[in-house]
Amino acid sequence: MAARRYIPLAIFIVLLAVVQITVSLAGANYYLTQLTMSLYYALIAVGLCLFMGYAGQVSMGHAGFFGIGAYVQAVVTTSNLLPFKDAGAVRFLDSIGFLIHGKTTLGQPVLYVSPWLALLFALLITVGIAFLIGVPVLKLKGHYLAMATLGFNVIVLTLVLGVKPFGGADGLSGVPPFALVPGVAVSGRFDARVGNYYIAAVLLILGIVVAMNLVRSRVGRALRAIHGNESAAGSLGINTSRYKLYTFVLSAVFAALGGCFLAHYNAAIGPSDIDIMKSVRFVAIVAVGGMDSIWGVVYSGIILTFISLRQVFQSYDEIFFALILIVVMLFSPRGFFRYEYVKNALGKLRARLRKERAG
Amino acid sequence: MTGIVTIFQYIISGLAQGSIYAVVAIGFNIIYNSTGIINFAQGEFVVLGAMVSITFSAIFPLWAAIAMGIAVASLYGALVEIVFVKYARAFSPLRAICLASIVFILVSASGLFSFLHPVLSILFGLAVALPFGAGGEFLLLRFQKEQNVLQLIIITIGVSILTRETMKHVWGKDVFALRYFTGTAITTISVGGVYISPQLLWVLGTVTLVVAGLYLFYKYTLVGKAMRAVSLDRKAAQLCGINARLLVTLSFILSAAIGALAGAVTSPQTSTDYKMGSSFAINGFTVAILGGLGNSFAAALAGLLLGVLESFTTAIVPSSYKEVVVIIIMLLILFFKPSGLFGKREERTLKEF
Amino acid sequence: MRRGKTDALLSVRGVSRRFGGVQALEEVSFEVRPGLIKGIIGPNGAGKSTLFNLIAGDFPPNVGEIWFNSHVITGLAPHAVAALGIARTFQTTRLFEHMTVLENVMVGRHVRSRTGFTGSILKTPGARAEERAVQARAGEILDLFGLDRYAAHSAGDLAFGIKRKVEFARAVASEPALLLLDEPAAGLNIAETRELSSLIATVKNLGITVLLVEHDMSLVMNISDEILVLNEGRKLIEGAPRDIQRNPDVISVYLGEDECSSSAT
Repeated sequence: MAARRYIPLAIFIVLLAVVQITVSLAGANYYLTQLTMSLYYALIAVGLCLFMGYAGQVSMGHAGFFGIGAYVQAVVTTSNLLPFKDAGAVRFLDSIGFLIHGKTTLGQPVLYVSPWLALLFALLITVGIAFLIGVPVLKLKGHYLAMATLGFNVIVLTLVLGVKPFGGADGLSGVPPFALVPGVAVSGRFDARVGNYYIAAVLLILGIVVAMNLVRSRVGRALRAIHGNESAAGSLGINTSRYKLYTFVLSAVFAALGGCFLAHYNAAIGPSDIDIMKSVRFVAIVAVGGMDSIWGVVYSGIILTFISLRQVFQSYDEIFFALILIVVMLFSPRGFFRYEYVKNALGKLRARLRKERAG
Repeated sequence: MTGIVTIFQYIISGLAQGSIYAVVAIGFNIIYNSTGIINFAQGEFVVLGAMVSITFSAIFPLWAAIAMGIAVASLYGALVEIVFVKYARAFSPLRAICLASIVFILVSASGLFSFLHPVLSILFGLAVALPFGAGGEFLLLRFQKEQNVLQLIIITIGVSILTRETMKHVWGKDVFALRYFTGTAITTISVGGVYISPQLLWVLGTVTLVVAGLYLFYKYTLVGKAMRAVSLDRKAAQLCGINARLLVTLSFILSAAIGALAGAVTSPQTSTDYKMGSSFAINGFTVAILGGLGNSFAAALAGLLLGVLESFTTAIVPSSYKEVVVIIIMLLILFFKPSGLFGKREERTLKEF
Repeated sequence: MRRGKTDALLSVRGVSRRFGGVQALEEVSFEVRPGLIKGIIGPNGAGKSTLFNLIAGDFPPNVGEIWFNSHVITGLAPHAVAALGIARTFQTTRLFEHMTVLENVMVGRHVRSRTGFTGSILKTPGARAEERAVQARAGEILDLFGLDRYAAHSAGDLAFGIKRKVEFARAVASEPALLLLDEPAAGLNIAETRELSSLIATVKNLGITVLLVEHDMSLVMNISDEILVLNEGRKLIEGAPRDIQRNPDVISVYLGEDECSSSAT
């Protein structure tokens, strides 16, 4: 019985491998670049799905958390510490292996903080900000919550544009590769495309497993209870505000994690990646995937992001996302890509086949 | 002496900016009162009105251009409501026509047939739009689910993006401005040493007229009274024979119309581009909750207050952070006084969904 | 501060609550002794529901204190009150409609289990064992209420009477010391009401103290050990069912004072 839960996971892993092999055999490895980015965006969508679909809240500001992760990661790893190499703190960090001696693309020597340390720092900052924002904001509901989170996103964007170290309208570039283990690095190098595809895949699968374990547990039940009826959930001893807050923080961490990895993968981050349109896009992905359906959100995240990155709709990209958001809400507010829809359709097909065989 | 003059200058430019926030907030309130939803596309109504007025002002006299801007925005407001918000279980030819017009707008904006002669391109556009309208109406009739408030809010967010991006394709990314109603950009009137643009008087006068007009409309006309009744108790109003559905459409028309008027009047001074709508929406929403959601007359005061406040903050912080200041004000109200400066605590809990 | 040590499970002391200009409750005091069933009756608008919501922590009283198991619970949030061992049902059932009946009852076990975010995400052995135990116990409760055949049904699809029962089961699943039942018989037919009264008796035998608000007089009179009568936000009288039934004040409240006085003249 327990093994059946992992069938969709196995299918997903096989699909990922099949896609990679097909693309590589066809000599179209450049597709892998967009596919890899789509996997990272799917991770963000899975996190948002926990907050929107399970806890039943709305966030129009997740691009803000994505931005906090990506920008902190980028700022920390692109700061050259060489001029300060004699400072005590820098020497200490260097001696315990937290600094990296590298070369810029022009061959100049640089000294920068290890991406691992930067990642830890970025996630800690995200957690801190998510807590600070979450405590007051999550007291709000409906359109108040939507507006407040949207406001948060605008604040992050404005600060990024206005504060010098964040690079203003140009953003930050030259983010170095992130060596996870020696020989395996997150980077956009052409010869590392296949490897990076699987790095993103592993991260996404980890995210999916975390999310699946969470929703099929006491905590997940409590979250769905809050979504179903907040006052009843409270009357049964569920600390609704704490559960909402923790889920908000967790989903912010998913977004920031995606941001950190994408900053290394693209070697850059810019303000256009974190404007409110991107937040709306995340909501659209989750809505299409079916709010409380993790697998639906994974597939909708990968497919919609890939379509968008391939520039299928050119300058009508935003119109496409807006239309899709409206259409989902009008016709199927519980989403299109739901596992149970597939299951029901298969069941109906099976029943019809059985009838035909009998008759 | 110059200090006081400067302060007046700030107050006056604040009043000008605040007027438009007030009108957007009133637009929010009109729709909120009739449906219980916040229409995130409110800012786009303002921009649409201004853009259409600017385009027609090249050919027609100013007043006619503005009237056309208001008419187009009103029609668009009705369109949005009929297609995306209304939930109808019976075949509605009106909705089919509206759907077809939206497809027509999208096709025209995309320039799909622009290589053809204009007349031909319109015909081709119609040829695409009409079947889509009929098909869309069939789909809506057959498959539309009844939405809850949160889903309706998300729909209005979608509409806001759809509108904004379509305007981008029609008018491009350039900044436009309507010509000054009286004189030019440098015409000023001196009032006790303070130099103000006559346009400012137009703006303040228009906002005063809008507020007064709405007051009279709600207080003395049958339709206005019916709208108030619906906002107080929808079911009871319907039992009294009020057609609530029609009034919801009307509320969208009304709020788009006053938004468009405000967009046109302020355009000479503040200029207009396709993406201004979202900041109008954020500022307008802040004003709406500052005055207490649903309370249009408090919103007018709150708008002027926020405008002046914003004007003074630009003296202290760089103007690129103007929006951050407004958002922080919004968050503070939401956290500490969600019923607004002029609202009572218990009123809000009644209206919450 | 008065800190009278009593043997009462719940002690409501001088509680008042006002809504705008309406005084919903005024200086109400009473106690609920453990192991008993106490009924609260009174005409519409007597303040029964307000009293329940005050005890459950939906909002605080303006004046007065509520003690439970030697804790002051006034001002505590509903979830904190629930964690101390007070469960409740609602006047209009509030089920988790998108969840199954079994899951609804499993949510009822929330306060009796402890796995948090980390345990859930890592699926620790402890978390798994607890999950199995929660499921098993929820299954037992469903059996007890005769709901086992609905276990896999979506709660939203159930008939009204069954929904009521599921909500009751969900509250009992938390094994509370005190159970608040808010008009449990409202909308039930005669057979269902009879079943309800036997279920309440079963719950009492589990050692759960019951406080119930109810309009169905025969139900209240039959199962309650004690009855509290509220009228216009004030306590009218408290006592055994027999005494309440005979009390002239209660009769006049229910039949209408005006009528009594007008017939007298």
